[in-house]
Amino acid sequence: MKRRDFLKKGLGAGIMAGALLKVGGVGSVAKGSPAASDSTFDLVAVMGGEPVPMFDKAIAAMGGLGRFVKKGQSVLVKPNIGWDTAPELGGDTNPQLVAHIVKQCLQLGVKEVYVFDNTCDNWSRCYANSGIEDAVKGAGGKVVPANTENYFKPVSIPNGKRLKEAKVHELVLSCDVFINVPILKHHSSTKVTISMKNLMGIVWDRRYWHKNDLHQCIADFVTWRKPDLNVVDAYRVITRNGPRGVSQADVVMKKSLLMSTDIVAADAAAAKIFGVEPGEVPHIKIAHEMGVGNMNLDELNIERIRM
Amino acid sequence: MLKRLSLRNLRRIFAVAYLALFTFVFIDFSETFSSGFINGLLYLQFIPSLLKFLKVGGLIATGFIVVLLLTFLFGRAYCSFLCPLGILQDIMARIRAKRPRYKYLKSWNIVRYAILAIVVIITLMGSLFLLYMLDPYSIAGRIFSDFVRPAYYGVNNFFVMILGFFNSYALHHIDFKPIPWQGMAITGALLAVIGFMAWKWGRLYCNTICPVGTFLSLISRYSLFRLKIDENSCISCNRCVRDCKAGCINLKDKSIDFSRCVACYNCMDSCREGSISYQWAFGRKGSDVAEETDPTRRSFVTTFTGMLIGLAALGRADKLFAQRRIRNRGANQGAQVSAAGSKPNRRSAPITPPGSYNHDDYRNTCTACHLCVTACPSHVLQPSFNELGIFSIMQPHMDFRSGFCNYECTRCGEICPTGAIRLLDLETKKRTQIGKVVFHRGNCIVRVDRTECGACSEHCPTKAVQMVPWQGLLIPEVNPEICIGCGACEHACPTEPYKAIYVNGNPVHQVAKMHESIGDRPEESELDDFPF
Repeated sequence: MKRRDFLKKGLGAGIMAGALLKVGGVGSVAKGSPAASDSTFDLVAVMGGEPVPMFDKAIAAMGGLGRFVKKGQSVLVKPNIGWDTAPELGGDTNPQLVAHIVKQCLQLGVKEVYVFDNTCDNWSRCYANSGIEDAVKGAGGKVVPANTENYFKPVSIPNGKRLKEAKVHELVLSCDVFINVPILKHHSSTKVTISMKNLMGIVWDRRYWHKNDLHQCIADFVTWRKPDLNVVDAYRVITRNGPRGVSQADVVMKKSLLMSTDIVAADAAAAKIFGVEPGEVPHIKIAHEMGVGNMNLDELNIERIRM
Repeated sequence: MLKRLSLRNLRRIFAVAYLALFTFVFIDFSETFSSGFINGLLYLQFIPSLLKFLKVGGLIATGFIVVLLLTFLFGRAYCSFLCPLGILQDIMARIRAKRPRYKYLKSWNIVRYAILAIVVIITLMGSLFLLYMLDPYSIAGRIFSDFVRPAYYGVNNFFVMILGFFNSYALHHIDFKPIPWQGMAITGALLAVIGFMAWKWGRLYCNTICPVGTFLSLISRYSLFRLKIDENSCISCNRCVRDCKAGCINLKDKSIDFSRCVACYNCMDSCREGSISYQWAFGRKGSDVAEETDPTRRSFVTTFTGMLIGLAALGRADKLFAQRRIRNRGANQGAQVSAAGSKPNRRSAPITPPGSYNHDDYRNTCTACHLCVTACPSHVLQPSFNELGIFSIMQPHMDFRSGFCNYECTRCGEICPTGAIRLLDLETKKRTQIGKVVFHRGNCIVRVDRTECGACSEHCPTKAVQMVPWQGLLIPEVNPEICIGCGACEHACPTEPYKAIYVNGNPVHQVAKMHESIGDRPEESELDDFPF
């Protein structure tokens, strides 16, 4: 590991990209993405369709995927692949939705699209049985391992209160665009898991978070890096026994999708769909108070689409 | 080397190919081969097949009968064609500039039959310890799984690093979970001793210590076809003796001690007169070799066996089932000093994998070949030190420090060749309770630090661990009845050195109750418009 680090430093490129990101701090370094004011909507919510058509409606309302990804860039699509469960159980992001996003990016002429998650269950079985590995490969994306500490590089989080440093997957550091594709689920300890909680899958040592005020750490981490786009899969929603689910009886067909560049707004809207007030989810509230984003949905310009 | 397709050359080609496959199966981390292939590959391994036959039965466990028949027909072909430790010895003996030159060795019949008798008696008395210490299949498995596997991981990780320079993720990095050094020391010592014996005396281990070799020799003594020297054409040139790694050719009376012959067929190829061939055993009188013993050699063997037992007993049995864990983490400025996890606790019993039914059965059927240790995708099956008892050293147990049992996985039961871990269908496995959860509130982050955690409940596949309201927070509540003991909660629990939640093994596995609300259909949403 150390030798690899050393050689990599020697060769330069990857680490330089990481350093740039660090200096950039909060916010995106996606080069050339236009200012947010180009889109009139802070949040797009779609209901009543299948995941892929709902995404198409939402991204069109957001001004098209071309706003976020450019030709020649490298893109990271981060679904939730945390559990070795079948797609019907709603434990992992819808595989067709993930593959569709990968495909749309590739059609815009991006260099590479990577997909990974630091899973909870055995990683290779999560990748396979969630259906995501096959779907993404079929779409032309690259499914990448995140199973050992070797893939994770230390970063510092200057604006974090409890989380001051974390080890982050090297692709988060090297990719130009970061698209976060969580699935909305009940969570036994954080009430819900949506976009912010999904970022626990790009870091290595989650035990530290659990030991040091979980909600605060979740909010702290987002001060380091906000995804360029959040696409919340709220089609099959585990409403109890989450985040893994025991059987399909735990799933409610909410048939919704949310999209926003504001990770707090996306989580606030998804929490409402789930049936909980955003202010009752500590990490959403903390992130709002830390100025990461806005959880007050009535202050936002929301596009609502029924299908 | 392979000038013609003689029996010897056939044997060489077969043995090298077999050992290559065998080795790969014991070091592979990618589930390259199906469990059916692995079962086929190990079908003829004598001890595992015998144990499986006794414990489980069925067609799949008839391999040892095939070996017995083969031995009765042609002698100990198992030892040269199939025994992984035998083939390994042949290879180790060749690591030198010149070809080895062997001499006729007197047989140590009293020693080897005494060892076999002791092994059989101890096994019948209910301890597999001596058998799995000496069984060549299991020793070879441990050599590959414990020593070759980490080296293979290292080579893999080196290529991962190289590919990393080209931004390729074609291979993936893998961590080797450290295994108890006491077990490695035993395997290492065995490897050194057996390697030295092979280098110096050929197949001496097989003809003196190995219980399988000795047992088969009882049959090969009466084989229908045996290698014999034609006294008329033999010119006593000594070439065959020089090539005989079993040291069983006595030129004085031109006889071959076929009970010690490992059927390598070196002698047939080395004989320029064509005097050695398989012959119907009862056509002519075969001469038996005088059975003598040599006190110095005998003492070597007893010392060696004593050393094995001594090594095994080296460790002390304190902190027997404590699940203490200390890890050094990089200091994170936001980290707080917490008392969570400071209260000692220990499990009442160790945990064995689903399909092992009960601990006694498991201890008496597992030969610690470590195939499951290699194959377990979650790396939760790890060689034990004294968790299962010191005379079960190296038999794998469920080590929740290194992983937890993947809910949807039955790999260990699919591949276990001895029947120690029997194959359960997935639905049965998901209900098999190998242990029960215990919540130690005094160590819990939520209780001690008053912050949310819930890592245990998050990971629980049956929701035997639920988070319930407690002083404005959520704290774990356990329901051992629906717990299956997979260890996900214990593995995920972040407290150190003691966990706030852990699993007590069930000495006899039980059936877990089902979660009360199970269904195979999702609910329709009552939401007909956006709630914002």
